[in-house]
Amino acid sequence: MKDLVIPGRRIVREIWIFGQCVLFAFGVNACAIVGYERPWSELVSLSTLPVTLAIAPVAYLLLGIVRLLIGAVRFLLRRRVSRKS
Amino acid sequence: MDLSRRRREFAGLGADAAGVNPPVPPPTPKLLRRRAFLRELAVIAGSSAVLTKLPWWSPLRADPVGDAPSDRVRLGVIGTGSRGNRLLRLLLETPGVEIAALCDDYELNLNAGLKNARGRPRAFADYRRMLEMPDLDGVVIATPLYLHAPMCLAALAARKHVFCEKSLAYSFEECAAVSRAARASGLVFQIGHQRLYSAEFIRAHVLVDSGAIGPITQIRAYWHRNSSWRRTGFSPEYEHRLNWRLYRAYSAGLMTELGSHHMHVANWFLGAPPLSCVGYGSINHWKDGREMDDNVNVIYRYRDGRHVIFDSMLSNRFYGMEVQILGPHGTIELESGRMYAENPPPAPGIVQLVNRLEKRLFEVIPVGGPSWVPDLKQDAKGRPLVEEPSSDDGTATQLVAFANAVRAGRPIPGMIEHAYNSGIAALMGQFSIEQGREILWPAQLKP
Repeated sequence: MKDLVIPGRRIVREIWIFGQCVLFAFGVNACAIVGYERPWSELVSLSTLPVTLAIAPVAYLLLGIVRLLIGAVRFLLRRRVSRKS
Repeated sequence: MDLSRRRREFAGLGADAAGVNPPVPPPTPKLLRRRAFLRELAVIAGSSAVLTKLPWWSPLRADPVGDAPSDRVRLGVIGTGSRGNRLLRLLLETPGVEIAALCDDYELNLNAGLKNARGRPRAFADYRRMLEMPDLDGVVIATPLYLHAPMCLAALAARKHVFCEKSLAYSFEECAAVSRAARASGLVFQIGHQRLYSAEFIRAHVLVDSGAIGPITQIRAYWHRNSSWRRTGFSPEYEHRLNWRLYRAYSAGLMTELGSHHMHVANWFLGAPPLSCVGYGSINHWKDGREMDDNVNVIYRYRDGRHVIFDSMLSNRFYGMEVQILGPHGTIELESGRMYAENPPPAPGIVQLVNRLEKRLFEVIPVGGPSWVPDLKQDAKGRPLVEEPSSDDGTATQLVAFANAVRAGRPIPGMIEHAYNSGIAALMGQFSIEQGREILWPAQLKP
């Protein structure tokens, strides 16, 4: 069986992307606070943190699907180009 | 057979039927520590000043019970049926209480009581003999309704302190007579309205007092069961004695056996007894020869145009039992111990946003749906009245209060009024059902 090797750079990149998702989730929370005229304490309150932190992996998952689709399209395009040449 | 003859026949009869005793639940695991409990209650109530509005709590402020013989309270239990045995077990856990005597004219009940009691209490078949014991401080009465008045009066006449299970008595006149005798005696007289000693009910009363739900506009109370209420498995000669709740000569049925608890709460929360009531009842399910209705529905009128609606039935238990205190700003459900605001504070912004997205994605919008959708019951969770409800529904605490009051020899303030008002209110409902007319509060009686 062939070992799957994930380079360290890739791991760091995924962590960085997930971090962006967490920031995005907090951004969504901030927008909701403004939109629904709620106190800013909700940004870090115990009642909202679980929801915010749940949004981050969902965003990461959705982003992963988009990245997968982009990757697939790129792969197909590259294959077509290499066949023509 | 007239009532007095029945009473003579059953003098000393224990309450709830023997031979068919349901298993007695195990005693509460821990003894009540009065001081800690009072502190806890003061927290629940918001401040200890609130406790001054609960005068019946005063015996619980007594000093801890010592080991001196003078600290011992010697009690007798009359009626060792299911309820009597439950009280007996709790009394055995009550500090400073000694069970000196047990009485029941049904041998199986009496034996069950003797088995549960520690030590060697004296056993009696006739309560009048028991009351002759000179060293007995008080009695706990857990017998059928029609025996409450004669037993209470006899005990008070024998200078014994009295704890009697609800409801107070079988008729208006008896209620008044017992109240008068209790007041005149200067002895402790307590009725088994354990909700007076329930932390959740007290918390609810504090909330109502503070205006949390606005002024009370209505109280709805119901007690639903799906059982015949009939005890079986004994010789037919015991039918009336053991199924006394089903026969008018011994009981006023659902109104006194269940409704009196809720009427007591209604009187307490509304601060006064009802002015009048109208009610209906019938036997529409358990047509087994019983005399008492298997469903009752009564509306009570109180001051300021407020109403209490009570119903009880024995053919459906989906809604169980509840007392709902309704006001313009909220609802309190006492038995489940929760409060629901009419306009609860909005959810956090992020939660609102998620809910909105969820609705847009998944909600099916009915086309031409019923116009009453906005009036359907809101699916609100509310909040608990007490964060950590006690395992004691107030029954154990009320016995501690009784024992302390007996030890101090001081009557429990307010208790006779609670007993009288709830006893009369429960009977009013039954009389209205029987007579098919509005029954007014018997203001002519002098309790």
